[in-house]
Amino acid sequence: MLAIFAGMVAMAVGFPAEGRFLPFVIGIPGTVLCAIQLAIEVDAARRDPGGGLSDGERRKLRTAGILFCWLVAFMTAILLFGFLYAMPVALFAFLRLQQREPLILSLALSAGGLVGMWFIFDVMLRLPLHGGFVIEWLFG
Amino acid sequence: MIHRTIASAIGLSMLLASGPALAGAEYYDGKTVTYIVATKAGGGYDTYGRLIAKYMEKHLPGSEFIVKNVPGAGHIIGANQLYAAKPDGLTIGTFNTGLVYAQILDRQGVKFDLRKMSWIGKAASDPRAFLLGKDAGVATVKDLQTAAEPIRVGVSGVGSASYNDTRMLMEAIDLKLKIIPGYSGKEDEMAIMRGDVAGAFGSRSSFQPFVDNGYGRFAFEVGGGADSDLPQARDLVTTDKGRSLIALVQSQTELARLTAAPPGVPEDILETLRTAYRSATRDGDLLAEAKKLGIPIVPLYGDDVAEAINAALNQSPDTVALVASIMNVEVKVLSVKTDLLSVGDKGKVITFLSGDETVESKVSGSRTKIRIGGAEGDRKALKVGMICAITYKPGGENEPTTMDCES
Amino acid sequence: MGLDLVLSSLIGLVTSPTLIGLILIAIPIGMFFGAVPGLGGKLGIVLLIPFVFGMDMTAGAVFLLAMHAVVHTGGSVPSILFGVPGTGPDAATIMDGFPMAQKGEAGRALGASLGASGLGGVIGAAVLAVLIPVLAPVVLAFSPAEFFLLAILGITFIASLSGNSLIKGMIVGAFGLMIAFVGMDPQTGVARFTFGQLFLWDGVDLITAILAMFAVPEMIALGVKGGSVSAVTRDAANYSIRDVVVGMGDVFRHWWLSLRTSIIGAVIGMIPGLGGDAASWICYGHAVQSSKTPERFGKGAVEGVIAPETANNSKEGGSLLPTLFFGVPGSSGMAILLGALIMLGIQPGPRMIVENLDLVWTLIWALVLANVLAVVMFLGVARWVGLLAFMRGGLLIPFVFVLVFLGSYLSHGAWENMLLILLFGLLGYGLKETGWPRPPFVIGLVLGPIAEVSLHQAMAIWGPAFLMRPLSLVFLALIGGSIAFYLWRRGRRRSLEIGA
Repeated sequence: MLAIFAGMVAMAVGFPAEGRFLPFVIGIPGTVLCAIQLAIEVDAARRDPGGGLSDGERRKLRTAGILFCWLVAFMTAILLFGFLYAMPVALFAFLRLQQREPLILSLALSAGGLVGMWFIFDVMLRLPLHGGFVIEWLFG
Repeated sequence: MIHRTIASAIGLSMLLASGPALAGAEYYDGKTVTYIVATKAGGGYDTYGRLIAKYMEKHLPGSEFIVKNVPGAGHIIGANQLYAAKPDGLTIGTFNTGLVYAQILDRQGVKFDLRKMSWIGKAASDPRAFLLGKDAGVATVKDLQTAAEPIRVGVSGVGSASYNDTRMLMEAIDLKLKIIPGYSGKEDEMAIMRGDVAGAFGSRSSFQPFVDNGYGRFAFEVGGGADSDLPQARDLVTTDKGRSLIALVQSQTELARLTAAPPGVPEDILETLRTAYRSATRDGDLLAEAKKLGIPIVPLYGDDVAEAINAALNQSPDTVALVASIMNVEVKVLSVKTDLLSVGDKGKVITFLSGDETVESKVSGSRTKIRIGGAEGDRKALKVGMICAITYKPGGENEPTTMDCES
Repeated sequence: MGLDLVLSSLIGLVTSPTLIGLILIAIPIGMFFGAVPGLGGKLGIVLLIPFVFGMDMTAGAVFLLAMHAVVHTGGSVPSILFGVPGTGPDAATIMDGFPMAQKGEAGRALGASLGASGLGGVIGAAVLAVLIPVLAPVVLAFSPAEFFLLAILGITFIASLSGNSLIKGMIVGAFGLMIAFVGMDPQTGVARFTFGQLFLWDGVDLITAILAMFAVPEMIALGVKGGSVSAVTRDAANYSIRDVVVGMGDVFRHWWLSLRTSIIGAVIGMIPGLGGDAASWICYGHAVQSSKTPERFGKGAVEGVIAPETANNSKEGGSLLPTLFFGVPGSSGMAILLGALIMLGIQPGPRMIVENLDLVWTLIWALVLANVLAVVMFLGVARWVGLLAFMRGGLLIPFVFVLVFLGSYLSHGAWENMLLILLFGLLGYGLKETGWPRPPFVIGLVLGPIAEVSLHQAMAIWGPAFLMRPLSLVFLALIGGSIAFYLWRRGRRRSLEIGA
């Protein structure tokens, strides 16, 4: 939590140096407000040094972290292999590995997703989606 | 009927598979061509792009054209992507001719060289006109030149095409204007109706309905034909400097709605694309559709476009410096490919043609990197008549940074 | 304006099987373009133009208009069910629509959004009809000076949307404003905060930012919590159309709010340069501020669904005004519609009223019919759609992840935005978990550019005296009133707490 404050303060401090009129008008009070809030939080933290994360909170953070990693994996797959190829694989991997869904259900949902996406964007709308760097490099 | 004849003729010749030109058309059978439009869907470039793509598809039997919108950074992202695409003739696209400015001024983010693009054609000449509101209190060029207070005009943003053009006009024909940025899309017309601004400069065909509706009038035009009903900017300039600026703006009005392919597309494939483009822009159906859309079609093809682009890019250092000062941009380097007119003092002083101007340049022994015939060379080896690709810093001694000469 | 003309246009429309058929085809198409994140009505028109080419003038115009009119009716569906906005203006609906789904009230939220969209659309059409005679003075009264003050008024709503901590809200709002300044500055041509990245020249893509700030954190929270979006498990069979009808009833129960936000939406739609995002957020802010119990908002208050949804449908009627009668479009979507109308042989402009009034009335009625029929059509399927909220989260999360990336890519076409999703997604999750309010961020992001550009314009045109324009004074009074009202209510609540 304090990291977010620190990050926001740092960002707000970094901004005005570059900005012009309005970024100054917004940025400087923003920085001051951040500092005030930080002071309040620090003060509150000092008065209540109970600190430390409970087990439940730690487990929660862990799950959130894992999910976020999945988000990164989805993005990497899409960037490298494009929506059409990455999506069913990513869907299947998530459903099977993370959620431990039955094989048939995972396959069916991924295939459904693939067919849906292919039909909507390729056949109906003819909208080109991101092709994926690896795919484009391989097949031009 | 005619199309069917052509189609069957092409079909027949494809069966026979004879003739080099037709080998190209066959190349597209069963292929997907991506047509990059450097703006979001909707709007002028998108309309032209989709129209051209639709009819090129028709004239390249068996091909499939897909329009891909690659918006951002004032067409630069789309142009970069097109430039970097594989030169197999399966990626072509369109972007704003105004990128000529971006290249001349070596703007940040530019990763293309318009000289090297494989030009297919351009679809329109789009004269630009100076629009004034009906109650603006100013109506003529004279009013704009002699106004006691600067006249307010709207542009979309500093650095945008409308801003660049307006600045150039102010300089070239001495207009007393105050530029108010931030009017994107058609907001300028609404601002004129409200009276926030008196006028704006832009595509005549897109302003025409506004004038037809009785909300405004045109003061003058850039790039209109000899039969135009408006005063032409080229007749209003009195100085050489002004003339070269107007010529630069005018060259862009004549080269509107370009279609290009990345550099290095094989000759036969490029020829096929050009032929298809030519057939497309002469197709009666396309012309009918364009008429309904209210967009003009004045095409030009292949090498003619390439030449016109090169002419627009080859500006004299003075003009570039002037444009740079008008746009408030610092120019780092200029590049030309030309033959050496004279070489003096053991290669220390050379002259060459840059645009339409002779440049005298002092070659540095240490800083200028010279290559002759592909190998590292020395300024002493420079000779009159050598064809060199020269990049140099305009102004002062015009010192070249690199010279790549054919031996 | 003869009443017979008004009626004959309506009769002509409803007795023409072709036109009614076209409207019925256009509605699902429009709702589809709204419901898939990143597509939107603009792209819908662009892709449909080839199909209307060659159609009769009236038929083509009715078809496109009906399609465009119901985009936001469909756009609210994913907002409510998954916290993924279908379009930018539907993002405000997430604020309370998604919490309603979490409370097991997805059906009611869908019903409310449906009813609100329909009502907003009809009122928008009515505003269009009523304002035709006084169009010019009303539209032209709003200049950059008023845009600036309207944006500031919207920004003051940050206070009401801040929840418990005003400081936190202001920090997040300021952060949204700072993000709004990313990009090529139109005043100076300088690239601000772009870190040399070309894709940031046009600013941070709004859809991308909203997807990352709302959809990503909600899905991660759902994964952590387990179960389905709806925390209340209900027997699917038990879930009936009654919920949807109750939701629609809510719209009329809050009829005074519905009417106000519909009219605000139509007026904002009418003024070129503000846009649909501003309309729905300003209306959302207004709903919170004018509520007697603002603390319920963000936790599933039905008014929070009604306000933005009335606004984003009613703005269609409003934005048609300048498009049809000046020939000057009020938004980029309308610019494309204008192009399509010209292609069909319609010449929008002041002569429309004189020469083509029957067509104008046909279009107004088409707008009304499309909005009403969309409600009827969607009512049939709303029940099944609502069941999605009871789907197991584990199955939903990966699909929403894909939708988030897809929506971002479709809306701007830059792959780099996917990296921004990670960044803002992380930030959004942090804010959510630590109890910081997120709406002020979007308010800042949406209104920041309007405020900045119009401030510079107003200063360049009138100097500081722009604040003295008559309409400016009205807005200044509104801003002052808004702040005073907030302070008064805060003070009163505090004294109540002390008293209790």
